[in-house]
Parts: sequence; C-alpha cells; structure tokens
Amino acid sequence: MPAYPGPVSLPRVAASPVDARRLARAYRESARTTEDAARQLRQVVQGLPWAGRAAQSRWVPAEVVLGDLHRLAEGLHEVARSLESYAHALDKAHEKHHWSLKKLAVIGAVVVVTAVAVTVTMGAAAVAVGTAEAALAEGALAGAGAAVTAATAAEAGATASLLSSAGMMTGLRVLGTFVLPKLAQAEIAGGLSALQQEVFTGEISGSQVLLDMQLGLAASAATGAGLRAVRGAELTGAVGWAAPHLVVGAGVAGTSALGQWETTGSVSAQRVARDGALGAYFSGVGWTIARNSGLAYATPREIELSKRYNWNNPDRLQRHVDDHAHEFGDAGVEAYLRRAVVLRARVFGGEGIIKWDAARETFRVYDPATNELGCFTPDLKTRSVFAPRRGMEYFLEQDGVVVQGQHHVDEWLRAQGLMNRAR
Amino acid sequence: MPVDHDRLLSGLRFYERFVRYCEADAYPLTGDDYTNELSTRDWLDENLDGLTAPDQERLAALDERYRASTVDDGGELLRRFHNPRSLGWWWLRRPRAAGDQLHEDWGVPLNPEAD
Repeated sequence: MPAYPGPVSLPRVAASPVDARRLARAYRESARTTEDAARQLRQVVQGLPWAGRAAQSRWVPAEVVLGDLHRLAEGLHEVARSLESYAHALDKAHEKHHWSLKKLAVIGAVVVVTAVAVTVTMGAAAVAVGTAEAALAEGALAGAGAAVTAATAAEAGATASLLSSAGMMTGLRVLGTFVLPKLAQAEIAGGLSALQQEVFTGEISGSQVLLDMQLGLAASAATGAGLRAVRGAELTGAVGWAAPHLVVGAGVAGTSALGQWETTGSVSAQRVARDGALGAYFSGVGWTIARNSGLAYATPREIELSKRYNWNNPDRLQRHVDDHAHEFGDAGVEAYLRRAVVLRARVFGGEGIIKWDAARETFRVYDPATNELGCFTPDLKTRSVFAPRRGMEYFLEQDGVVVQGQHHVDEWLRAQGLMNRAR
Repeated sequence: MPVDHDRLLSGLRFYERFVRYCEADAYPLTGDDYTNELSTRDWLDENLDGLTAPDQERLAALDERYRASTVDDGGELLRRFHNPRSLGWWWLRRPRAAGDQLHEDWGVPLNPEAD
C-alpha cells in the first residue's frame, strides 16, 4: 500500500488580526475627531454675531462643510467597520488553520512552518492511501486550505470595502488634509467673501462663497505659517500690531489670485491688491473687535507661553503686554512674562509686600524698590503686573490684608506723615 | 515735586485708552487694572498744574466721554473692591458693561440696560 503522497505545501495565513484591529481603532478615533470638529463648527456658526444678508448666508458654506464632514466621518467609520470584520475573519481563519495543523501533528505528520508557507510531510507516520489516517490527514489539509482561502477572501472583502469607503470620501482630500485645524479660518474666508460680495455687488453667490472658503482652507496653512513667523519675531508697537494683519492680507491676496485663476484662467493684479487690502483691513477690524468683546483669541504660542510662565489667562496675555510692558521698558511678551516670574519669586522669597484679598482670592504684591505691582491667583498664576503711577499709595488703597512686609508700609506712611493710616 | 510734562502726557494717553475701553463696553483686563486706570485719573488731578491749557481741554473732553460711557452709582460698585483716598467723581461711576475678566473679578453682572 503506497504512502500518502507528500510533502504538501500550503500558504500561511500571514495577516495579523491585531494589526487590523489597531488600524480600525485609529480610523474610529479619526471619525470621532471629525464629528467633534463638525459640532464645533456648528456652534461657531450659530454664535456668529452677523446680521442681515450675511446672517442668512452664513449657513450656505457651513452646510456644505458640515455635509462633507458628515461624509468624511461616515467614510472613516465604514473603514473601521471593514477592518474590524477583516480582523474577525482573520481570527477565525487562524483558529481553523491552527486546528487543522494540530490534527496533522496528532496523525504524525511533520509540519514545517516558514514565514510564507506551511509544509506537511506524512513520511514518519507512513500514512497509507485509503486508511482512516489518510482520510483524517486529507480533511485536515483541506481545512487548513479552506482557512487560507477564507483569510484571502476576508482580505479581498476588506480591500473592496476600503476602496468603497475611499470612493465615498472622494473630493474630500483637501478637506481631509486641512479641515480639522483650519475650519475656523475657512469660515472666516467664507464670511469675508460674503461680505465683500455684498459690498461690491449687492448680492451673495453661494458658489463663490464656497470656492473662496475652500481656497481659504489652503491659504490658511500658508497664512498660519506666516503668522507663526511674525509672532516668533516678537515685533512691538505699530509694526507688531500691523504685521499679522498684513500676513492675513497677503493670504487673502493669494487666495484671490488662486480663485481668479481657477474660475477665469487669468489673474487681475488690481483685484488681488484690492482683496489683499480688504483682507488686512477686516483682519485688523475683526481682531480689534474680538479683543474688545471678550472673545477668546489666544494663539498657540500665547497658550504655550502662559503655561511656561504660569500666566493665568492666555486670552488676555497680549492685551496685558500691549498695555503694560512699556511701563517697564520690556520688549515683547517673554520679557513681560519673565518680569512677572521674577517679581513673584522675589516677593514670595521674602522681599516686598504681600497682601491677601480673601474675598477675591487674590494675592497682591508690591515691590517699593521697583514700583512693580503684581496680582496672583491662590496657586500663584499671574493675573497682571503693572507699574502704578501712584505707587505705594495705590497699592494701599487696594483691598486685602498685609501678610508680609508691613515694615515697608510703616516706613512709607511715616515718610508721608500718614502713620495714623498705618493700621 | 513737579512731574515731567512727558510723563503727564503719557498719563493722558493712558487715561484716553481707558476711556476707549469704557466706550466699547468691554474693559478687557482685570479689576486691578481697572482701578489702576482710574487711579491714573487721580494722579492727573494731583498734577493738573503741570498740564498745559490744551492738555486740560483734552482731559476735560476725555472726562465727558468717560461720563457718557459709564453709569453714576454713587461709587457703590467700586467701593466694594477699592478704597480710594481721592474723592474724585470718577470713582462714583461704574462701567455700563465689561469684558469677561471684569465680570469674573467683580462677580457682579453689569447690566447694559441699567443706564
């Protein structure tokens, strides 16, 4: 009786269900981030204080973006679902394959597993064709083959599903690249476009607004880089105020040029200049309104600096610098923040005067030697530092109980002939 | 000791900026900054003799704008946070409205309709 023909080679189920699940989780996370961005956008648009036709038109570009975001999130969820199904199918294939090979080992076959294939030889057990062992071996080999086929089918299914999801997201490539950090800029570009159209033509074109908004997405990346460079340069005074708005204006001019090229195939220098100037103008106006109306406007750098120097309110940092840095001759944000840190260290290290205002949970400190007055939260974050024109007199008028440096107060009151006011 | 004229002009500019904030109904800084700004008005008052006639006219115009953009409450609000030695009328007024920081610091709503 001849032995069972061998050796038999089968491909391995090489794909890892762990990797597939990891990828699925990443897609789910991206989908959730996209949904969060859509929620934020809806809130931003709902909160825009626009009136008249601009208010009516604000949802035109927003709905397009929201629709795209919805499709993007759906596509990402779909990819995640495909990968999860694939991982599940791989689990089953691995299990079946493993079980089949185990059976072959019981029969006495020699199983050699390499990176890409499994080779089974029946020689040691001298399995004869037509015996019960041969039937078992045949069944096990068929099972292992079926597992590989199932894994291959799962892979093909996942590939088809991924391609289908990619199709669902066609047209969102630009959005996918820029959308999450740039939505606000896009909305501003859309709003600005609507406003310009209303000013110059008396009408608002939804498609033009959308085009400008999409171009705004691309331009905002370049504008953002320019703004970061301007911030990094620590410019002061009028130049420091104007520079970021000029960068925005340049971004809008670039957007205008791209838009003209895309729609007409040519570029009008006059229109580019006009749009750039309008961009800079509206940037300045918008910035001023935002700063004066209590809207949050901290840049990433201001947030980072606030953390580094323990500054309480990053949204107000630049305003404090604008209003107070010159009182000390400080040039730029970091010089002002360093002053606050040094004052805090010096006074809480034993120099100067400390008052505690329990009602407002504020430490007020004053160094008579330098005329620096600082206000700090209970966890010693800086709220403000300035040089009061009336010095110690102003500090003493402020609420709070002196908890350190009473001798400085007494000394000053004696010098002023006001000792009776000391306690 | 007389104060340098440039310093007085700087104080005027400081007060002007404060008035602009009040007019915008959006004082952006802290309560401590607010009272410091009003204290500058005290300082200008203490050094009135150092201001030229045009400077004094400018100060009077700023005072008018400050009056127009604030509400007379007899000093009730500011007295809760500050004890000025000065009896200047400017301490008897409160802002019509304020930024979020001032709301947080003072813990009281400033109703724009109360004017």
